[in-house]
Amino acid sequence: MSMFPSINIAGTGLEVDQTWIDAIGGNVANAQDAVTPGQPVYRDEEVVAAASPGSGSGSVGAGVKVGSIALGSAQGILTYDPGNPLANKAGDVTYPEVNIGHEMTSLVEAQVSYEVDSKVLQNSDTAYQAILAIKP
Amino acid sequence: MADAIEAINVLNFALDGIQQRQQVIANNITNENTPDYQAKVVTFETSLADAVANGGTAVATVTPEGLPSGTNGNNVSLPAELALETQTNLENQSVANSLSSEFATLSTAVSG
Repeated sequence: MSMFPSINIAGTGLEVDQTWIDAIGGNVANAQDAVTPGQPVYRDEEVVAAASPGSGSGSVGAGVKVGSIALGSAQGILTYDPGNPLANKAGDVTYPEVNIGHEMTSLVEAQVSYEVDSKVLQNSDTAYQAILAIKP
Repeated sequence: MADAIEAINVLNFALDGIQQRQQVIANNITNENTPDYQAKVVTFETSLADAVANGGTAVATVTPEGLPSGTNGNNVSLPAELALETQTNLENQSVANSLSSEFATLSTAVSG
């Protein structure tokens, strides 16, 4: 742990939020990636956070980290569109299973989380400044 | 002068406790989206008051907060944590100011 642990902890939160926002960006960007029959389809990525245990004396905890990335359906979703060159014999086109409504909701959550974590960083800074100002 | 040193020791312990509480609050807030994370709290005031009144050693303890969990097993209450963080920041400021005053008193006593 560093000399200013609260700042580090807030930093781990910002990192996870950033990864979360990146994953959402990837999901939205690939939402319309239709594939030729038999090819692997893009899989939705969901960031799952995990608590970082504290080292040494700390039952305090060392912030948060990306625990895992949960992947969505490998099958994708079939949409009937026989005129599409990517359609299979039955006339279905395979799209990734990305729910734009869900992605947008997650994006708002991630943005709020980023905002709150950066607030924690600022507050920790204020607190440490007060301590550094102690003088006779 | 012994009184001033005693006061400095008490304030010093309080500052450590406040620091630890800030760390725990930061940890709780950053884990607001972590599945199955359980919020923690730091308690030290009662132990410190007891040690000041009756002698002995004060301790700061970290315990689970124990609020009911949401659907993902997480029980961090963001409003509660943010309010506590603001309060703790003010306490930190106040203890830091008191320490400066005690040091100033001590410094005057030493230099005469």
